[in-house]
Amino acid sequence: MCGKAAKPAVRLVPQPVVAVAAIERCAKPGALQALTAAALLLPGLQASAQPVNSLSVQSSRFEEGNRHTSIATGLTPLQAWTLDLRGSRALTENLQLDFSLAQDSWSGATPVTIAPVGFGGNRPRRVNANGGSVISGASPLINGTLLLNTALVPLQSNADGNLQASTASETVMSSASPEIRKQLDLAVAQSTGTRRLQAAISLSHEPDYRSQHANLRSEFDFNDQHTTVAIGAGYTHSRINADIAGAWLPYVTTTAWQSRLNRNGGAVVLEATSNERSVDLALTQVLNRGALLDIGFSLRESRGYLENPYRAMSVVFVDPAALPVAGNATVRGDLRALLEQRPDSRRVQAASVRYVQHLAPFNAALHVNYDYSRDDWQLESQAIELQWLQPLGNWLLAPRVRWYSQSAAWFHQSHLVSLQRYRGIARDGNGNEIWLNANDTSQRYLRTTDGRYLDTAGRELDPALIDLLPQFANFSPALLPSQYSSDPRLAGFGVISAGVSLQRRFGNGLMLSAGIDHYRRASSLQFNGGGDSPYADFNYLAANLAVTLDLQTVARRQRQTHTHAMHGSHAAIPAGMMLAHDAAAAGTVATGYRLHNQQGMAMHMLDFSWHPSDRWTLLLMPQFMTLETGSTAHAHLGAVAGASRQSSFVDTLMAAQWHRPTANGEWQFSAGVGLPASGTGSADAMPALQYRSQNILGQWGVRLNGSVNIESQHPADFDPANSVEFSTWLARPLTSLLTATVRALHAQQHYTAAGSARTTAAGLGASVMVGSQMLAVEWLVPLATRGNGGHLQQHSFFASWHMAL
Amino acid sequence: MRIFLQLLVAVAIPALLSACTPVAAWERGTLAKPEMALDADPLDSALDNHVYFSKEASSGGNSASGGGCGCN
Repeated sequence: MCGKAAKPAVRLVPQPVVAVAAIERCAKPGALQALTAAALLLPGLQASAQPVNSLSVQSSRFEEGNRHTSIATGLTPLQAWTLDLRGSRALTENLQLDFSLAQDSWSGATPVTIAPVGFGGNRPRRVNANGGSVISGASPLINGTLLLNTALVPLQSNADGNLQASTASETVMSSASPEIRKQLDLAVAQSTGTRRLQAAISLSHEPDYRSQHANLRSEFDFNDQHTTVAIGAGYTHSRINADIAGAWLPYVTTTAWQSRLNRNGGAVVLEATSNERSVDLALTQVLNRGALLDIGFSLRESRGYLENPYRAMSVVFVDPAALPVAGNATVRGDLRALLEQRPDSRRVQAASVRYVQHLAPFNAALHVNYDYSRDDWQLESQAIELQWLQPLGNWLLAPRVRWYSQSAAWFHQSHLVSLQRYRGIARDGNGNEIWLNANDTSQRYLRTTDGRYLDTAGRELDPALIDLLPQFANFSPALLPSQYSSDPRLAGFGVISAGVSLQRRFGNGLMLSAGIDHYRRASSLQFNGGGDSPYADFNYLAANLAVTLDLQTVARRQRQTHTHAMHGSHAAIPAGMMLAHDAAAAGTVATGYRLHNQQGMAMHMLDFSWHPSDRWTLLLMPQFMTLETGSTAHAHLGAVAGASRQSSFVDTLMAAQWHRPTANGEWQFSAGVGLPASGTGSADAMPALQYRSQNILGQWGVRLNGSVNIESQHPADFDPANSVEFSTWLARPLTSLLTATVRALHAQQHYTAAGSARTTAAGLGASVMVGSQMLAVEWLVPLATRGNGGHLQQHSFFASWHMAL
Repeated sequence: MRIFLQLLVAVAIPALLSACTPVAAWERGTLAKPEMALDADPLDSALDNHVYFSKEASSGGNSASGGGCGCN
């Protein structure tokens, strides 16, 4: 679980041109004139570089490095895929809609607690090899015995096998089940003259965590549009439903949270809510022709359950009665994992400064950002980021570096030591044990420290004459601190991160961007030093790829070239055929959408293609799937079957196609890879070979394509498959606009566990081409099937739309 | 740190604002360049903020508050 609904970005809405005549008076070069015109369209200041009418798809990958543990855990570090579809649309001259639909999915190793190294929380897992036992990895251990010295400092074996005191801790890692989070953001902004008003909602959903956010923001331009003031308020409600019955509850102590545990059947669900209110104020000022300053302040107050139900605090319970006197003796501690306890409220004050300076000698922009925040958990943080944005023709290169530092929360500790027993025979104030009559538990007896049994009147009795049983008592929460957490995110530490992004704008309204970032958390990087959590240091690498369409530019080009043909970017082929794009003139960009519907499943696929030359086509195709109960997912789409109705981003297909014209037709070879957007899917290589030509009936083609599973991250019940498919098709023009298509195919799928499935099917379809747009439909009917699980063994309906830009 | 902020508010900001030069509407060509936008790459910054939020206790006033999240 990962999600509070984030505050959507605010973007200013264009206003009517106010001084066109002024531009015309100025004889500026073309590009600058265009920018000047763009500036005049802005009411005051430009908050975001995103075009007003636009559609973007961004895919990103996040990978952590291995954590520093005493032995290599062998666990795959945390990995995540994120897919974000967002866009904006001017509804009227003054009204704008922004939306975003994002999904992130993650899997891999996650810290569950922090424990002294001497405890051995990452317990070696051994396998027999070469006649001996070798360590193959580690399993988490969060309850057990820890030896301490008489000063209650943990003991650790050194290289010689001797015990020595050590305050070193380590992160105890466990492998978490893959999880998917989805988020929807919607914002409507109204602009009237120098005022703008935006209302936004944001919904975040995970199986165990739901969050709803709403905010209202108002902006005013004044001072002859040199100054913009924005004021906003937001409210977030979050609900947690964490089923901790399985792998977590047997090992963790939930004493403090009994009232929040809802036991229903086999499930034990921790149910809780939290709310957050926020207000923010920002001032943006034009300093001169090439400099901007933005200053913001915000206050946030959170109330409710602010803990993490998957984080435990290691508490070492030491029986005070067993404390030895001798200075060199060892003390036996009972280490237990307790669910963390944070305060029920948090107040955060934050300030930010953004300074943007244009550097004329370089024709570049320098962004300097500073953020500061502090709260009543005594967390204080600051971050400085420098970013250089260098336009290079149609390219924009933007390297950046960021330093971040935070102090620790007042209740953060790596572990606790408590002078009491976790559980044991109850004692009175004098250290005597309390025993009960097994036949009448209201009768109490005392067992003295020298082993005698006394009744409540102080008379000694013979224990052989009474059936006695001890009265057990659990630890007293009152003897623990009121709040405690060992979450490394609440520790003191610093961060250095650096990255670079590259954008390429095309004249047809397309923009491609890619970025990569490296992040290094280091306790030693904390401002003023003193970071005390080196055990939690780690690094990650994140890379992203995005495609943005400026729909205004696209529409303008469409109007200018309305007679422009498809350039072959997607000719009349059957609607169900994927990765079968035609060659096109260098620079051609096309976009499209395809629907594959069969019983219980609907697959939606966006399609972006770019032709860097007339021989090559590059494709990016994110897919979104909705699945009904009882349906079986296509092998490449991840194990998303099960619940009554599930919707998620599944694979993102990326492919390169090479076209080789011949005297009578064209060969086409495609090399693609399907990358799982969910942590439960599989990565597949998808090669295809096609030949197409023309005969007296129309266009025809033959095609051989396959899919080979190359990497899987999926639960045990998911059975990855390799598949091969042969198809042949004919497209027969009926009129100048309408084309009929027929297709025959034979597909084989080979599952790792469940054998194979074969399908022979026939398809009938039609396509309509209007200008540079094509609409196509196809109905595919299975004629013969063998085995189960083939993804075409049911009737399928395909619909597609493509447009060359 | 508080002193630093107070200094920033009391001295630096008024100084910068007093240094403002009037910029006529037709002189805003440079300010309208994409690289001069306060958020020059909204997609990238949304992603960064999301990751920072999951790794850091405080996200510096430009995103939701930290803590309570088990995504790592």
